[in-house]
Amino acid sequence: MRTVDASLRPSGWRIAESIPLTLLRLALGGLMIFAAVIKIDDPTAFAIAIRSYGLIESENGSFVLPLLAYTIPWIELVTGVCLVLGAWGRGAAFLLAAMLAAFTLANYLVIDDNVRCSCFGDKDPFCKDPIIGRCQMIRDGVMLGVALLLAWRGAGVWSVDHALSRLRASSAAHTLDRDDDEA
Amino acid sequence: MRIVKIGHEGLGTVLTRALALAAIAGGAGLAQAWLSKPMVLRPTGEKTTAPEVETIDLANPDREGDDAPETPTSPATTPSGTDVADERETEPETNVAPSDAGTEKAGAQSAEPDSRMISLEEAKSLFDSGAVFVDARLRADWADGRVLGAYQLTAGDLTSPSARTFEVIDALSAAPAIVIYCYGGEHCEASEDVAFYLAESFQIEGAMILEDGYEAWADAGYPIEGPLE
Repeated sequence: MRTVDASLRPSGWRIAESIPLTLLRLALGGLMIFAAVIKIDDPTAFAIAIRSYGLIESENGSFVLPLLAYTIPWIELVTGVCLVLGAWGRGAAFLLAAMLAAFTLANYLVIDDNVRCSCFGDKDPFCKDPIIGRCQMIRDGVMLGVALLLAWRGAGVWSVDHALSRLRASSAAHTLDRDDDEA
Repeated sequence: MRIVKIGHEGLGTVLTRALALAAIAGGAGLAQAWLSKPMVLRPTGEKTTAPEVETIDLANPDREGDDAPETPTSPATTPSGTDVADERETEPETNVAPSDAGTEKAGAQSAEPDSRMISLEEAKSLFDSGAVFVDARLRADWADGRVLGAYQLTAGDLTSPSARTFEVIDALSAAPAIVIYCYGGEHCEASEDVAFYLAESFQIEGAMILEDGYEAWADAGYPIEGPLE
């Protein structure tokens, strides 16, 4: 009979790593939910804000602007909820990182150009001046870095992802043990 | 001993999940778009130019010249509760109104829905004549300082109106003229958006836009108030 070590118990390093990962995950996820709720409530205002960047074609009949205005807040909400729960954490963080990279680039293109950032409506917790400038670039850069870190390291041990993994691993271990017993 | 690893997701899995989440969010967004009323955006194009200026008495459109109204029609009180009319000059230097916009009540139906850019001096003359000013900047900026008596109103307020929005709309409907301002500058389209949605959603047409924005007004030493206590 073979002994199956399912490695169900996380290592000390993994636990230590999970403390900052969990805090960052909750902070970023919470921020995304906050930003999403503001925008979902008024997609027209968000479309106007996107248009003020001057980067998107907004002629009559163009569907791009409404499409972005309706979908971006929901991406923020879905990824935010996933990050808070730690469910599909790496996938959510990867998607969020891609979106934040696009935001950062867009902000860079209009920096100091008298364009207002509508990222958090008029309740931006980081930058007092709504005009896109250095503060918004630093904020976006930090959030992008956190998203990339989470996409790399995952949600940590206190997450739905880890709980499901343990469940699957436990189930696999029992199956292997049973197979070995039968053999 | 066999090791069963946990928590190891391949890049393919991560990408697949990211795409799945994007699809879920996209579906939710499209569902919201389908359930909501159609989004109306202000058409972009050539900016309106400054209109020809003529001397017209706002309170008495039929009168022209230097005869100023004794008491300009003041729409309401300031956000802080003081009567704007009392604080304004009763003898305006000139009563200026661009073409048809200033000659009738802002709430009246106008044949030309687009707004008109006006200069600082024209805005001051309208102010002295009792025009209502609308601050299209963010609420925090309005709270920090604003044209005396100006209401704060953004395009977002007009597309998702609250009780406060309707109070402002009532005041604007009774106003002899409306001047909208924001930060000023080429990229500040907030004023044009507010003018557009005033006409589109509330049939309040003929609003004028102070092109130079709030800073120029304040720098000129014209009446301001704020911050809020």
